Amino acid sequence: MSSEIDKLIDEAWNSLLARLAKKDTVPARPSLGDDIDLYVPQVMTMLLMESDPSAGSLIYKSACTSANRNGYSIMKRLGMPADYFWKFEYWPKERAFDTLKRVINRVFSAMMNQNKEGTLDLLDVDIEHMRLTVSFKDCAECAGITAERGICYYHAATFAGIISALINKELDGFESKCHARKDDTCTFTIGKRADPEIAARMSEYLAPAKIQTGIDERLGASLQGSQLRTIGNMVNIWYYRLLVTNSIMTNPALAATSTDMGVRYGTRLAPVISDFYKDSQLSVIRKYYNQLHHLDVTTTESGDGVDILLAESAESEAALKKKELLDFICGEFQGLVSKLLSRNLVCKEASFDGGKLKVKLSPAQA
Amino acid sequence: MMSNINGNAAAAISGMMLRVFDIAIVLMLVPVLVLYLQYSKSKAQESVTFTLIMCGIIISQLSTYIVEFAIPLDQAIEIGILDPPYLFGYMIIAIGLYAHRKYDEWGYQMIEKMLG
Repeated sequence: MSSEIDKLIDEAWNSLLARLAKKDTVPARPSLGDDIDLYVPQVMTMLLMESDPSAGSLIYKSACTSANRNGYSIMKRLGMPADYFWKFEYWPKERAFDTLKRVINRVFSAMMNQNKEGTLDLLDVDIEHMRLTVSFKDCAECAGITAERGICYYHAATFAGIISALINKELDGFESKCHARKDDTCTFTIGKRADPEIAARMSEYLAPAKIQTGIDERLGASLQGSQLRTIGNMVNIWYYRLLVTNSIMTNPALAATSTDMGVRYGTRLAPVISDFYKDSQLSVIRKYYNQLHHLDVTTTESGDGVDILLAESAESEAALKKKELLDFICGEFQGLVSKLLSRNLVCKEASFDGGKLKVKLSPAQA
Repeated sequence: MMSNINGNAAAAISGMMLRVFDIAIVLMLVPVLVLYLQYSKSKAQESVTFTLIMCGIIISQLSTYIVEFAIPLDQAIEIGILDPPYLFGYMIIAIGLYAHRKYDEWGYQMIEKMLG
């Protein structure tokens, strides 16, 4: 099971590398395009954080492992010698900073720019204490969100994983400044896992906490088209796919409640979008998902129930076929349609036909 | 005369012991180098420059001993046969040091080349 998800994660990283190397890549979605609104990946993490206090820690662990594995594999495929950063801890500060910054900028920062995830930069390397500071401007994880603490768990883990792979040290990273807390830019401190000070800060950073992030306000901003970042509100679907596979799909604890989480979210979504579009018909569903470039969805009333056809989605077909994600999507449709039509509908059937997902919602008592 | 013979024998024996000890140390370096390579390869951290320099030192020493076994030392010095193995060893060390200096640049060029 986990190896299948690892394959999905590795596929996403490979796609990033192929695009960076300007190899011919086929667009993942011919109709909607390969960009989605920032809100789509953000809402996934916000929902997880609201429903499970340990979501941040679970996302961190999974993302760190996959970034480490792929960081190493990418550098190997780029032909970087295995000992490029050999005995890094004995390097002079200037050489360590310049060389690491150059490699990070050329490979990983470029990948993230391409994904419109944000602008990664190495700010400082403290060789003596083995501490690295990176900044991440226009962070896709927290733009437009307000929270009492740093919420960019995925990026903290990704940076720690990548740098660990580069210099072959076991590192961890925590967020010292976050845009969600009104800081100018997200800043991460990365240091040795065995360092007591880093370990203490990590425990504090990953400590279970219920984080309220204001999903409805955030959705409102996206629907109204408010500019949330200097690089725009769109983000590449490969970032979203990595985030999804590293969160809801990898962690059984998070996946166990995916249907309920989807239903709750759909129910919450309905009044916001019917208010915005001034319409409470099924047609708002298509308008909403199209506006965010999330799904190409068609809804048809069929007797007492509703049939939903999902022709294109931001999630890959292989990921959608996984129970964890399918349950969430079906739950979201169930909650959304039930609330819009003021009828208690439940998902009775979900099947794939030629790459398209068909979801059948029927009255609960039937 | 007898004491002179005893003195020469003692000097020859101690000289030989020193030589054996010297050779043993260099020979012991070979498995150390092999173990180092195996270990660093398993950790994906093998160092090309370190290996080159170590190989240079070992090759220069070992080849000298081989020549010494085949030809007496004074004769070998006289005909200059020891020079090529030493020079070869030093050359490998020099290449290792040069590669070490240029390593950052070459590694980065590889990345650039792959990314086009």
